[in-house]
Amino acid sequence: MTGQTRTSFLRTYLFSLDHKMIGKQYFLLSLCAVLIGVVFSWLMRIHLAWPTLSIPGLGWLANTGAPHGVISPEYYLALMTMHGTLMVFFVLTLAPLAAFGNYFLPIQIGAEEMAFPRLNLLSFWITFLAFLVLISSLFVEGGSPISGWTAYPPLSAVGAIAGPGEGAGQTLWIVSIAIFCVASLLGSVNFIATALDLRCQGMTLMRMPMTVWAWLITSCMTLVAFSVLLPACWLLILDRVAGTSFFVPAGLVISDQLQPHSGGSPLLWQHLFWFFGHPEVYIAILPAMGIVSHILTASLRRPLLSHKAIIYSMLAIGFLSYVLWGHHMFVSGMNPYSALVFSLPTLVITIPSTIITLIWIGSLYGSKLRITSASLFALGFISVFVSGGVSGFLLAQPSLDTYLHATYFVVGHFHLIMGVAAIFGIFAGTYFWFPKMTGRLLNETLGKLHFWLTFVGSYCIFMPFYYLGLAGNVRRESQFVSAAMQSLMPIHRFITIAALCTGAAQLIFLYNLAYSRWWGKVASPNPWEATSLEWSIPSPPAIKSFGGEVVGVSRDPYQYGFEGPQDFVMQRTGAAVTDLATVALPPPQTANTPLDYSSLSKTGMWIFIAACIMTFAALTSALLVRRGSAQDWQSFRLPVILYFNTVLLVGSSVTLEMARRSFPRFTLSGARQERIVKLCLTITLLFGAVFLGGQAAAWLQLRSQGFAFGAGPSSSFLYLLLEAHGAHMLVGLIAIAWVLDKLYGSQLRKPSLDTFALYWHFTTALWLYVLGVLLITI
Amino acid sequence: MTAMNCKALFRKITKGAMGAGLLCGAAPAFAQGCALCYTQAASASSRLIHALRGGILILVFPPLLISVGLATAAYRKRDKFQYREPQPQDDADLVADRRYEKRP
Repeated sequence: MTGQTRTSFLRTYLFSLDHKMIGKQYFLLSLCAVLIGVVFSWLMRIHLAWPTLSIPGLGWLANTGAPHGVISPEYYLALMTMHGTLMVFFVLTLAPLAAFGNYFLPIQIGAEEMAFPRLNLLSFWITFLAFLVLISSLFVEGGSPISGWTAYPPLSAVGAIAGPGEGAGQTLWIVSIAIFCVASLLGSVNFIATALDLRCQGMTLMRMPMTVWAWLITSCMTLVAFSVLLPACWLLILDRVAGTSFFVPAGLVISDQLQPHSGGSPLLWQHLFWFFGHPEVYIAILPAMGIVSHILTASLRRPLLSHKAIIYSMLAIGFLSYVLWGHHMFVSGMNPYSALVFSLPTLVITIPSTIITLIWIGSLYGSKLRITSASLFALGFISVFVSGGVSGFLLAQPSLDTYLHATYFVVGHFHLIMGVAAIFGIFAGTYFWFPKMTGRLLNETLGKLHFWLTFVGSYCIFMPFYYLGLAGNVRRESQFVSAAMQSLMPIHRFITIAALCTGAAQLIFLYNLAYSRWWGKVASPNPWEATSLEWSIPSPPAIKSFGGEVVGVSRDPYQYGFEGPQDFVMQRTGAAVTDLATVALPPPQTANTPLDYSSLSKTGMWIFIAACIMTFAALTSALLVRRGSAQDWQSFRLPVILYFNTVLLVGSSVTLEMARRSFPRFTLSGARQERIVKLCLTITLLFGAVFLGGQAAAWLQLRSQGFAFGAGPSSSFLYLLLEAHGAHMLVGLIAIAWVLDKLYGSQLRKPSLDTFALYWHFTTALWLYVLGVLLITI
Repeated sequence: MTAMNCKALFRKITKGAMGAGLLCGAAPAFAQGCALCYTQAASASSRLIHALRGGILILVFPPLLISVGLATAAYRKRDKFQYREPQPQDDADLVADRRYEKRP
């Protein structure tokens, strides 16, 4: 790469801090996941079409699940679970957001790097670990779990007795998802902080490309959604390994054995899971919407009818997606006013999606569309988005949904709207940005062939699903033995053949990708004559994307359709390659103000705190639901030492604040002030350590009174909340030790102390909240 | 009223009518009809229903507050930018000391 110094292989390709390399790593990881996911779907489809067919080699790979290569019903469910998990988490969540976002978000806002490069690297490797843990579930005794990607308890909570795959396989699945949540949270902190704080000179919010808006909004959604899924996974793991009863009801008998659980509710899992699950649909589709809007603008050679309307619509989708999941709970008999709160956004969220679609379609009128592989996939995205979305209107009718919800109609709906549409967005992005990422063009003829085979193939696979659903063909079943279903088998065979052909068509894409990477036509810096910042730098970019130059913009990113030698104007100031005298540009706005130094780390900390708030809100919500789900809630007195600890923690916050306020002055007033700061920080450290010790003493006291972790729901929640807060305190203690070390080395800077103080005060406030919740509920 | 004003008014009325049309035409959406949800909820005691109601409401407000907080932060930073001094191109360490300075 241009401008790159010689570094080791590990530093360049594996542990690089360069956001572009990390973006490529995410892309390759998604590619691996999608290949495995597609093979699993092939196996399922072959089995559905020819249930008794022996698949060569499968018997050797999965001896118990598919003896002699014939897939058993349980193995079919395991394949379905793994297919869903891989595609939803490791493809649809990763590729459009983490892969393209990592590579292009900083460049498109004129930044040289992400806000926290090391966190970015850590985020990728944690994701990779989650992937390995998930894949390892294929090879443990019993194989992969059979509970689907939604992992509904009690099936997912009771252990190996529930069936093959529900032993170690299910545990690994939950651990993998919990790890994935952590990685996603770290990634979203990075994305939000980068978009808010690292924009270049002149890059106001409204001048950010639609892709950046989509990644920013999706990151906000990821932050909130995964912060709730994470504690849900903790609770599920604890049900499996620690004998707690969060999700497993009392009196459950499996294989003639009474399960040792009491009073949990599977509804609690659905409550927490769908808080994540519903926004997840938008997390998958919003980045693709941004990518498609960005590509369409460059392909149509004119701005979209209103790119601001698209941004506001995406914001509306992001905001509304938080308050939709309650419609999964309508049947719970919730307060009618609460139901109204959820039904209204359920209705309203269709409006922004419709607006965006209408803008895309309306912008086509009178445009000078350039047909490329990227623009074809962008147009294909609109097509499948509409086809999948229209069927959603049918499912929204309760009378129809009652009949259709367990059938292939739903499979067709969510595959088109969430899966195929998002994957078309990924393909569009790949064809569009490949020249920038590698410096070479993908072969357009192969690209167009790939598009048409995939486009036609996708409809051949998923449109018949609607017919099957209307004919009453139930989903999740591995064989259809009834006479009524037998008449549908020719359609199943047609779908399977279409799936095999469409899958095979992806080999064209893989070949094109591999061939063009090394031997493709060399790309110019701006082969599509596009305007945003990534096209103002060499292809591929250097490690420092802008070569260390100061970047500035003075106009919005979509300046197309001008008369003159070229019909576009670059967004970057000084990079305009057109005759400015002949075009009517909007007046440049330059009245920007700089950010102060501490802004970046503080922004990151506030975002992290937002994630913590959501996690504790989820735990509180779970506590309330569990408390009301059965009569096994035991109240007891909290150990007195907890109140003493509270005083200590509040005291530590006071001493820390004294240190923080004294800090800027000691350089002026000399040694006395410095001594005060050191003393206050040492006292804070001491108080914090004693607090943690006190919490441990409270644990021991409770245990000695017979309140073990799994003894009852109240003690389970008490220990869980104490542990969760204790983990935050431990991080705080390590941080304060680091601060003291820096202080003694005269390297401590005010922003670092401010950021740390913010975290510490938050943990104090959090403890007061936790104590309040415990006092009210236990 | 000038021709321009008439045109603008006409556009506003058209947009309003389109918006109203979208609202009127929207299909009523209720529960997604999850069988397990329904079975669990239908057999639940009123105590669980009450608890679930509280649990749902607790998860509604924090995202709203966070959304408002993020929107406020974004709005306050809408016209702010970061400025970093040009770095030598051969510097492989990407973790550079960022400096924020006033725009001249």
